[in-house]
Order: sequence, then C-alpha cells, then structure tokens
Amino acid sequence: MASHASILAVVAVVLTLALVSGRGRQRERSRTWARDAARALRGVTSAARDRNAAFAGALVWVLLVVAAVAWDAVSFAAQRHSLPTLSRLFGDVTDHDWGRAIVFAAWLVLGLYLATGSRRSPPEEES
Amino acid sequence: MTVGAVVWIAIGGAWAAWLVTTTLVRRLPGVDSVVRSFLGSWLGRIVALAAWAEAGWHLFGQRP
Repeated sequence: MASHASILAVVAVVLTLALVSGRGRQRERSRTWARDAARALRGVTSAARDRNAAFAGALVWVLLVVAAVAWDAVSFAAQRHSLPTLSRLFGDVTDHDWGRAIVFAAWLVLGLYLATGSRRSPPEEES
Repeated sequence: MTVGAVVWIAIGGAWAAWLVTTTLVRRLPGVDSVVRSFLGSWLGRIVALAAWAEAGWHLFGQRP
C-alpha cells in the first residue's frame, strides 16, 4: 500500500512540475505536433534522402517497441515459467535493495527530464 | 536457457544494435531526437509522461 501511494505521489509531483514549468513554453502547438508526427511517419520531408532515412528510422523504432510489447503480452498470456515477462525480468533486479534504488533513481531522472526538458526559453521580461 | 529468455535477449540485442546504428549514422533519428520530438508539445509530453508513469507503476507497484 505504501509503495503504491509513494509511486502515485511521485507521479503527481512530476506531472505538477511539468504543468508549472511548462506554462507558455512549449515549442509548438499540440495540433501542429500531431500533424508533423503523422507527416514524418508518412515520409513527407523536403529532401528525398532525409525523407527515406526519417521514415526508415521511425519505422524501426515503432517495430522495436511493438516487438517488446507484443512479446511481453504473449508471455503474460501464457503464464509459463519458460516465458518470463518484462516485469519479471526487471523484478530479478528490483528484488534487491540496490537494484530497486538504481532503477527507481533512473526512473525518477527520466520523469524529471520528461517533465521539464526541451522547452522554449522563457520570454525576456521587459524592464 | 528458456525460450522466453532467448527471445528477450534477441529483442534487447536489436535495441542495442539500433541505438548504436542511430548514434553512428546521423541521418537516422536517434533516441534523443525521438524523445525531444515527443516533448515538443503538450500532447506529446503528456503521452511520454503517461508511458513513464505506467512503467513506474508496473515496475514498483506490482512488486512492492
């Protein structure tokens, strides 16, 4: 129970930090971002060589994520010892105090970057 | 070694190989550019944070 509460608390703090630190500082609007992401996946960029590289690169990333998620789902559905899920593999590390601390610290650092990183500089205040 | 372990090693190896490839071939989108592209707007950032939160719940909440 305490573990669940502490994780939820960390998530709430990081989300709040994202909202507070990012007010008016996104690089582009959500609609523009979604449109550009869809165009990138379709390979619509200015240079033909860059278009092929961007499309191929995006496709490989998608396939890698799908492969991991799909195999995890198969392993979870099978519920066999010979088919460990990703959480069980991570569990072999997080079962130890040192492993849990390292993974938690890495997860926390990633969350802070996702919440506060890659933003426009705040507009300079007029004196 | 179990079948599942072999498959996970293969998937992990593919991830490692692709990370190295995108680092060496600048034209290909690396993990940093993929993450930064998600952080470009509120929608992308929320998607990334949702995935991060779900991963944390799965890692630390399922095996407290």
